[in-house]
Amino acid sequence: MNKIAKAIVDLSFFLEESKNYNRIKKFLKSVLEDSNHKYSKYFNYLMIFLIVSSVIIIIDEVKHPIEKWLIFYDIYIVTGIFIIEYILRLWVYSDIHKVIIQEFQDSVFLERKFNIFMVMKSIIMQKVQYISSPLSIIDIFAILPSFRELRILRIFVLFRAFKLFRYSSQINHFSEVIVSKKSELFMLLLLFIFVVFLSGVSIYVFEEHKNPNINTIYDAFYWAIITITTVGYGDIVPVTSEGRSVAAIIILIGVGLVSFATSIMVSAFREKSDELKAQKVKNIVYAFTNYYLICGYSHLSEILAAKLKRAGEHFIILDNDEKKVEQAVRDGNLAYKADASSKNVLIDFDINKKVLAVITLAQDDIQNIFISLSVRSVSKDIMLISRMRNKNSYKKLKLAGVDKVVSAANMTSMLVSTLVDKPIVTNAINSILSGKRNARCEQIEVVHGCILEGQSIKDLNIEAYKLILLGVSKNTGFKKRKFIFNPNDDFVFLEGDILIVLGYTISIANFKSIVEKSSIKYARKNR
Amino acid sequence: MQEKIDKILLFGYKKYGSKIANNLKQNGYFVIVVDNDKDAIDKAIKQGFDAYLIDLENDEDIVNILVKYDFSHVFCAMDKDEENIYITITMRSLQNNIDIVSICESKDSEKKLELAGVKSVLNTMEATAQSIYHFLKSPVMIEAIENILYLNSDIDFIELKVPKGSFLDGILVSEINFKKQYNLILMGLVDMEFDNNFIFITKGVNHKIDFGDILLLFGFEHDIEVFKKKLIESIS
Repeated sequence: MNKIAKAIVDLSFFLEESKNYNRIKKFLKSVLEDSNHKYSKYFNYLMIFLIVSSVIIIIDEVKHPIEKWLIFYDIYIVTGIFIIEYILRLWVYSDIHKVIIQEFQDSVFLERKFNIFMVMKSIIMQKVQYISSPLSIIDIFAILPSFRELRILRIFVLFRAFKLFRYSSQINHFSEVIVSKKSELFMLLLLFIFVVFLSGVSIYVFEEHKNPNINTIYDAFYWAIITITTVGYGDIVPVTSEGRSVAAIIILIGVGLVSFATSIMVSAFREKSDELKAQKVKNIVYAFTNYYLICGYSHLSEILAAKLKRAGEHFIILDNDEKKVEQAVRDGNLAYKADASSKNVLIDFDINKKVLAVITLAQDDIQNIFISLSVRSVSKDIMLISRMRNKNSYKKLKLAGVDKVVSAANMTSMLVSTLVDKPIVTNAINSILSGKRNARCEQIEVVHGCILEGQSIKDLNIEAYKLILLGVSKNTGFKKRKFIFNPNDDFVFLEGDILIVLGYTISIANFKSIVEKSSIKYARKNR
Repeated sequence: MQEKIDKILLFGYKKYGSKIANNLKQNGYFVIVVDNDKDAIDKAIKQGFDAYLIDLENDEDIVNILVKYDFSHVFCAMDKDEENIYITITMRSLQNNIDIVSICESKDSEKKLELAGVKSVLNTMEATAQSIYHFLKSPVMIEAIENILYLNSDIDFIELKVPKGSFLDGILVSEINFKKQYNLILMGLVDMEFDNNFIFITKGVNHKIDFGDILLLFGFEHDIEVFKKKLIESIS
């Protein structure tokens, strides 16, 4: 291996191992190519602004001389950024160093000579593949209008407008619609060309000597296109009866072709519109930092959704039934038609990172168990709540990994007997829980270093904070907790304990902030 | 002190009714089950309830049962909201002074039941959604509360009516330390002098306890019993 080749291979390995290089490249790649990246939106806004402003400048320049700074802006800033963007896109499109490393490893493995030219060829092939892609060609053409010496290049200002395709998802959807009907539109185009050719040639043959407006075959094709598209300017009209017969036939064909084209586009848009709507819902959900996932839209889901909405929480409803999704949307919720038991759907909604809890409220227990198992197969730790309709399903749901099983019948029977027996307490507690009163019940965790840690109940004197300590939930390991009701005065709080307190909203907020601040203070001191 | 209600007439022994019947029975009530479905009645009898098959539209059937027992409460726990509303209206027309409690599944029915004259309505879906919601927000707290309130634990809570002449009559809230002296938690009280409303104890106002006031206390069953005994002994 000669020196140059060795240097190239060394450099490639260096790049492969360099964290900074890879981080920067990954970041730029996602900003440029991933429309869901958080900065991608701002980059797109900037590009749209540059395009629109430069197009306005170029149009304005046609008639009036423009100011110097605008020319400077157009030539150096806009074009400069376009060129940088183009180079960056070319760079992030593929990894050169990976190709080199691959070839080097292959050569070592196969004990053959490291062929630098082979590597160069495959690298160039990859980059050419990008350069020849339609969007890249548009990018190149969009750079051209800045070379003012060549007036003809001005026409490429149009390509700047095309460049908008890249930055606007709406325009992108439009092109997707057209692409989805590619074969039908191509067939239509062939038919169109065929009819134009046939009628153009016949009118030329019939009228070339008799009609003063038709002198060349170009005139004949022009007339054919104007007639077949049902535009009919009237600048060229057939004068012979043969010519008129051709006109009559192609007018009829033209009407057919136009309506055919329209119907293709309409059906394409209709097919695409559901997809677009779904994508819109997804985009909204992706923008949330965290949210709840409700599987199945039932009466219970409706009430829960209303409660979450009132509390300002984000959530998305998944249901397999189109009608239920529509109903959910009509009720003002975010809903998405998908099978919640599908692993891909769950991964798609990022249940490991962004979802706070999954609540399965499907029509029957079989579905709930199935969804729960799918959720557990994707995420072990996520909070999972499921509705139970049949009491025999309790064990099965628990086996499927559900954290909390709720049943309307159980809940009701529990509430009913306390309602007869102790109406005042039940009402008081219900109103505290539902936040109807100014009083609340709250859980407060003993975090490391806060004033509660290592303190006994006697020393804490919680009454001074105008709170009632109902009990403490102790962490006993393995995700299990034990509730200790009304602990003794010598009970000492440890990290991870959770205090259940009752009190007025203001007292709770005050106490919470004292606990939180004390832990922050501790963290700073020990840093 | 509030006495437990003796007899409850329960309509319905299906999804909700069967659960409610068993729960009430566990809490020491005498439950008589009626339903218009033979299977449900057979099941109720099998599980040890006095159960009668009736035709909901036939008032005589209901009157016969009402005459036989002296009910203090009527529970409507049919699976369908319409039936519960119909029963409520029927009961109101037959006997005006009885307390009716009903379950329902929708907000609309809740209003209709209230119009029909029930004492309390329990919206099953609302309660379940509420429970899910609380679990999402503060899971540990809701487990603790449910533990105390509903599950068969040795922790209980009482609504204690202060008897005349007992040691509680006439003292200030600050003069008694429920936790130290009796191992109980005082959550709040209903002051009969004031406005009959529930007052949360942490409000900080030092109330004077009078006879007739209702104290809400949490504690272990044993401690509650001890406290009740002492209170009765203190009546001079």
